[in-house]
Amino acid sequence: MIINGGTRSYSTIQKRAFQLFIYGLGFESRSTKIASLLQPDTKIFALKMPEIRIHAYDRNVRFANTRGHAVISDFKDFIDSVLPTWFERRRSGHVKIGFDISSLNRLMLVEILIQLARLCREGDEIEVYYCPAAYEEPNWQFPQIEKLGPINPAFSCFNSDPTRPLCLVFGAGFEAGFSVGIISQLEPMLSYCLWGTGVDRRYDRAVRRANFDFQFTGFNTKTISYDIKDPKGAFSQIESIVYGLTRDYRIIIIPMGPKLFTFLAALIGMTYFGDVAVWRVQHSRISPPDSIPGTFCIGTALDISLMKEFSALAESANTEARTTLALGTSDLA
Amino acid sequence: MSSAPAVFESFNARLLSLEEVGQTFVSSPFLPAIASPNHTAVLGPRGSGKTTLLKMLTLPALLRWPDPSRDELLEKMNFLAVYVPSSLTWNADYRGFSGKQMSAEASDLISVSLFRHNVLFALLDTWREAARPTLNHNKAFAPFFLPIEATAEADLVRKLALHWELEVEISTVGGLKAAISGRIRLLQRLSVTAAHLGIGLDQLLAEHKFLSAHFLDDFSSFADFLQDAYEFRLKLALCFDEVEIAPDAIANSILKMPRSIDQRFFVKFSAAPYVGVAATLKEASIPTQRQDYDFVLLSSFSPKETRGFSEALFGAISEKYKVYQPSERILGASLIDDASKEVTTFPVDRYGAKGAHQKRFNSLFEHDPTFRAYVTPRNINIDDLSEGSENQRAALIRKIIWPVLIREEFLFRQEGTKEQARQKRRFRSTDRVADIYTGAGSLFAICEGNPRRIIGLIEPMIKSYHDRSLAQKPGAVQRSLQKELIEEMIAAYFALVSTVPISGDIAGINSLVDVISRVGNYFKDSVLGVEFNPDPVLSFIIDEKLPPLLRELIGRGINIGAFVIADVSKAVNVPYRLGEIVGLKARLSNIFAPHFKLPLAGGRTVNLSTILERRPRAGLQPLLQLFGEKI
Repeated sequence: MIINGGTRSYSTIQKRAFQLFIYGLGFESRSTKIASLLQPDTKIFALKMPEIRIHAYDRNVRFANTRGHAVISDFKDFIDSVLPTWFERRRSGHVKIGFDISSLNRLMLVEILIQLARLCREGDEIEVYYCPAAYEEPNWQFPQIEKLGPINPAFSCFNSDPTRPLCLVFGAGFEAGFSVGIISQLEPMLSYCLWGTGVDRRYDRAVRRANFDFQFTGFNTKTISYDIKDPKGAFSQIESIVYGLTRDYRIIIIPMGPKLFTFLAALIGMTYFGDVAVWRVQHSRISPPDSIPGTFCIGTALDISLMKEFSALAESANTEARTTLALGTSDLA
Repeated sequence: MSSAPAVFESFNARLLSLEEVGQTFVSSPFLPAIASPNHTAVLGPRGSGKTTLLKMLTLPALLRWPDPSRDELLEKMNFLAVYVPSSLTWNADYRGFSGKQMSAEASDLISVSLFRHNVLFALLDTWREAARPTLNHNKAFAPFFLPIEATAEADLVRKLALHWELEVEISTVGGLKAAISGRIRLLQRLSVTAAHLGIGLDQLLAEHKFLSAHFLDDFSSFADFLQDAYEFRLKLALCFDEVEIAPDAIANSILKMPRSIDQRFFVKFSAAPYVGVAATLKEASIPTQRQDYDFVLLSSFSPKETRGFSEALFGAISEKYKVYQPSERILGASLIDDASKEVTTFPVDRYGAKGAHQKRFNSLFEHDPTFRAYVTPRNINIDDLSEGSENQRAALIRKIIWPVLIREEFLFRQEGTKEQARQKRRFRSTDRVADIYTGAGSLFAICEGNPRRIIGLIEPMIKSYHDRSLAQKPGAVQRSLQKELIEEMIAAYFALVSTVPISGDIAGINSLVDVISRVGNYFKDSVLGVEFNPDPVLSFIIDEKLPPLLRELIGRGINIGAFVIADVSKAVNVPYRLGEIVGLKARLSNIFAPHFKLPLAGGRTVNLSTILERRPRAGLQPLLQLFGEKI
């Protein structure tokens, strides 16, 4: 699913000529970092996050408006209408799309990826960017989990064997006790804890600390680190783990930790469409921290042909669903 | 990679096969009650052994249980147990995704049908297990033997498939299982598409007739099948595990089953103690102790009652490491061991001039003026606690042992001069977990007879003892390791508690962790307050003043094991009604005792609403406050 990926200096982004760029407009300082570097003729969609007027929110909104970005308040309309319309009206030839996932929520991130897979054509290019935040001490409170479940219908493992035992593959973040709590709640037979490292040792320590030094006593859990700066390598690593598990387990990926892991989890969900679930954990945040952009970002080029294969599978599932239920034209994914 | 975890490495019987459960089962005092020919509700918090006990009723588990009492138990069992495991897929919360949601009716329909097909799996498995030729070789098991002859298999399978309205491609037991599996996959897909496309109940039913079938009919048809094919006259015990995670539509059906199912069946289910859905039933339908079910509560208010089982489980784990020593030799003695032995083997020593309690009484007497004020008018000879009769000691001394131990351990500095110590009353900067919570008796009290906790906490200690013995380093497990493992367990437990969702807005309460913190700190202040308190508050009544949402949250806390309730199965005057928690006496789980610096014993009771009315301390929840730099 990933052609290449790695760290990118901000100066190189200025040279990228995107026809379309999508980013999340929220309260984090890093929200507009990459968008601020783009060439002026790029069509930029700024997806407005829920209005939480803290940190850099007002500044970011002012920035998007003054730069003429298309500020999107209705995400559903964006997915159902605005984005398809842009693709319909595009000029002939291939397009280059940039997608900054840093400040998007996980639901939006996944929906956009699915929609891009559907709308892009062979020969188009999609580059995904992620700005790791500069280190800030976590607040070490136990967050309250509010909801746990599939992130999207396409990623609900609707085709998996119900008789197989559960395996969790989760990304570890620095939310205190999160992963231990979720393992305890779901009680899988096996878990893989994927620990993103390599950006800042202080983050690495914080993640270790929030996950009780990865001592998941009482649960069959293996902890494996992956390099956040090497998304292609990380994808291969996670994909090979999942591949080995699909025969024997019902797999649920729970993308906690950096957004990059959610992105990778979505790609795994696409690769194993119907067989692997990707879940979302919704939790309370009393005072969400700001995320200041660090000194570099991470860029990834996606393999459009594989994205199209996923899209074809999803379309086929839609057709089957319509047949099964004698339905009209709605879609599963 | 696909193999099941080794016995005892998994703390969860859900992950063990029936055979593994039987092989490692440590005889439980609850088993005879659960195996009795009655409808039975097995209630207990997480890790209390509900799943193990239900699985122990099955033939594969009993076959592998090497216990002399087994055949006697079997003789009394006039039923064939059908174990129905729980599944996450039943739960609409785990099936639903953000955005479009299925209608409640359609969601219930899918849930019930998913459950129904899990039931079919369970019936099929039971039949297959009863066909094992080994059953016929053992007199006690022979009545349960249901052979599947090769020449008859296809015919039998076709009959069952017909009963269950399943289309099988190959008429074998495996083929039947594949047909059920295919149905579940179809249901999974329906669940997704119906939610996403907004399909309603009518359309689902119109397209898929099988959705209207109910598992009660499947039970009846299975019983008919056994009668026709085998002239099987024993009853069937339908054993539903973890009913608390089932959607309401399923849980309601199970709770009401004794009133709707025929005489050929017993219904046995396990659930966490607070079955919230029961409270939503119509008044007359609420399952009641003895009237509908015999309730068996697996937790105990008094840790002393669980000591025997804890020791037995400890022995079984020790055997795995070929360690054959008593728990006190391996873990060291604790203050509880001191206290309990006072009654039996060492009637005088613990209170004698050099006894452990004597020293602590002396120390507190020296440092705590309020304790002196308590002791002096009561004519307690602080220099010789062994003075007087046993009854006098019980009345005067033993009842205040824990407050004395806790105050002496935590309250006063022992550094500096005696005069300084008298003047400075403050918390001693001891380790995060104090020594008084280590040693066999304290560790067992913290685990409260909960098998999962015992395995999780104590097995690493036994392993350490074993490893040290091999390295020629004899002696009990180091207290430092015990404290470290206790800390880890508490941290993980808080993490688990933080996953309990809070429904709606409860004035001033942010989470279950918040409630636990407030209760724990209230109790702590009662023990470690300015004045010596001989009878501190250490339990509460779930009273009527609590708003319904808060009661619900407390119920969830009970289910997760954060609160321990008094044994509802022993309610004499008014039979306990499932789901009713108002009026119940409860306490904090002992797992929190080291964190809040609490006694491992009971105490006075106040209303929970009184506790929660008190203004909470600022910044109660941070992880750093819990365990400092350790984590």
